[in-house]
Amino acid sequence: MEQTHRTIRRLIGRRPDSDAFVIPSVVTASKAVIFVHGYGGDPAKTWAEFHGLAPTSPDFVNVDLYFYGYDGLRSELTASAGLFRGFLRRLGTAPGTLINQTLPQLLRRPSDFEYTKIVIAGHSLGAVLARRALVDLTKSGESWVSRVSLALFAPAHMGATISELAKIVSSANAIFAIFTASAKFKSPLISQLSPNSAELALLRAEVSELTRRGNAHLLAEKVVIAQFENVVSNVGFPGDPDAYPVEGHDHKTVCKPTRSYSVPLDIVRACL
Amino acid sequence: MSEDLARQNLEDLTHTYFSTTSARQAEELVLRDFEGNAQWNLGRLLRHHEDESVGDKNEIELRDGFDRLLEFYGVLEIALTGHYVNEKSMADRWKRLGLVLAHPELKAYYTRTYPLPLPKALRKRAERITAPAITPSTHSEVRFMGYSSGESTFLFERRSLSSLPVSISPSQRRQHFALVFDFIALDQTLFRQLSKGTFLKLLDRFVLEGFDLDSFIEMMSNQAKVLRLAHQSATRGNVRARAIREFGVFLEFCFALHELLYRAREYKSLAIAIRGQYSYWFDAIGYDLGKNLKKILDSFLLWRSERDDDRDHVQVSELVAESSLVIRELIEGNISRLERYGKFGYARD
Repeated sequence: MEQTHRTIRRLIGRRPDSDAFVIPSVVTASKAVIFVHGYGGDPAKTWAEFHGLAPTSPDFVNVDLYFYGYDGLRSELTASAGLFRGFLRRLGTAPGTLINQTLPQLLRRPSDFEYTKIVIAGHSLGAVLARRALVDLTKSGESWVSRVSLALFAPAHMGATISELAKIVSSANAIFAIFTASAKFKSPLISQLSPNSAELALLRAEVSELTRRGNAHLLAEKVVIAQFENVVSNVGFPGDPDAYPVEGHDHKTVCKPTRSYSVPLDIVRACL
Repeated sequence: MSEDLARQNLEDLTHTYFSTTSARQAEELVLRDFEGNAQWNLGRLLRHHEDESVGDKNEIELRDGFDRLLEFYGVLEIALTGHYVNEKSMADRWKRLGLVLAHPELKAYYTRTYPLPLPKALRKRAERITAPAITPSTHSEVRFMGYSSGESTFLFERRSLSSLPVSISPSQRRQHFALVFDFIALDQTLFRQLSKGTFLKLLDRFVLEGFDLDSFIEMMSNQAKVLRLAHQSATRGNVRARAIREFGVFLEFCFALHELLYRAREYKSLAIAIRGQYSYWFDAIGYDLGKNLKKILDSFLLWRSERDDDRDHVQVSELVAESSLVIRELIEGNISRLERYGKFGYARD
């Protein structure tokens, strides 16, 4: 096997609680995948096996793999989406300014290189964040966004169960989670992700309006849901394709590929 | 792997671990010292912290640079062992590496003051490569000695370099690559968070804002306080909140390292090298680290869940036992298979 990717590295200039990482292709990549984690997730942990599996797959040879991080416990949805929008805009318009900082001079990409395709793989809250950012970029008339596709895993855009959300957000450590199962965790996300939240209703309305005007990229290309889901609603987002239900998986494991569970890899690959 | 790719990998690792870190400045200090143009007394700067405490901000930053430099050398040794770079790709670097690693004060720092196996192994490589001739048997012995570390005992099967295959099969190469990739991922994500943080400093007996490891252990008996602090923001929280959060990250790191070493068991030299990168924690202060982490973990056994349900207590007991086992095996260097990797979320499900 010839080496297809370089090792993972941290993107420079990010806050310590919102690290982002990249696994660059050894060639000047024409495509990128951005992985966006969910509630209380982590850019490294949520997608852990993608780190090892994607770089060994021939379909990812020309693909840079980004792992975006943000404070998925305490931050407010609209602001988080705004921050992600800035990151996505850089990736869509001037990726060289982002990735070249992490590469030695010898290996830097041409300053004018661009991605012909960007796939956002969003898990849970990450799916909402990604679509919100994409809607805002579309509204501001940025043409490059039509190159973006959404691959969503257990998306939270139809609402999340608040008590289960509390469990997830407090489970940064498995032992602590046992003692805080019903913690009254103060997070704006708890109301913003309730099934009848104003934020989710606005997102649905704006996507509906913008897709009527031809912005098909705002609809997911692929959606994956878990059989044992008890955190988010599995009801489909209006206009999205039928979700692919995965047997034997739950909210946390549905997006994690392993040697014996290739669905997440297959889904992302199909969007490239 | 092509020579070109090996050179690129070397450039890349150098960029990540040397050029963009304070390691570069530390190397410059050593080279200036050789030139008789010393800015610092390196013997004093690189002292053991128990001989004379280190409180001066400049000294702390400079010593951190030397730790980064030794970390870089450790990564190079792992990359060489894992065939991610090769000795030929480093042809123009061996002389300089050998020179820096042989500097008497730096050598004392990584061999006696805070013994680290990987810089020692890299120095032996440099000596072998820059020496006129050397026999294969000496080579393998040198390699073995390179990995011994103070009084600690490695329970891995001891294996000399001469028993390693000269060329490896494509399948072995794939395995080596995957292990080196996963090591870098572990090091760049979890360990990097920890190395800049609070909890490792407490384990290393630093006193931060009047808070030390003993205070942390004592605090863990106060369930309500710990849970309240655990929910504070990582950046806005005080030293106690940061330490609690990072204690969770440290456990994740231990589980992930344990899992990586278990997967590397077929390639013992690489497994030993990867563990060697964290030798300070698991060898040099391993005994104290194990004792103190056990105290912290045991405090969870006295906590009460809101449901006060027997099932919760059983689950906590299992998690504490499993965490204690992982830490003990990392310290002993004897890695067994666990039934439930991934309990802490990082490793495989």
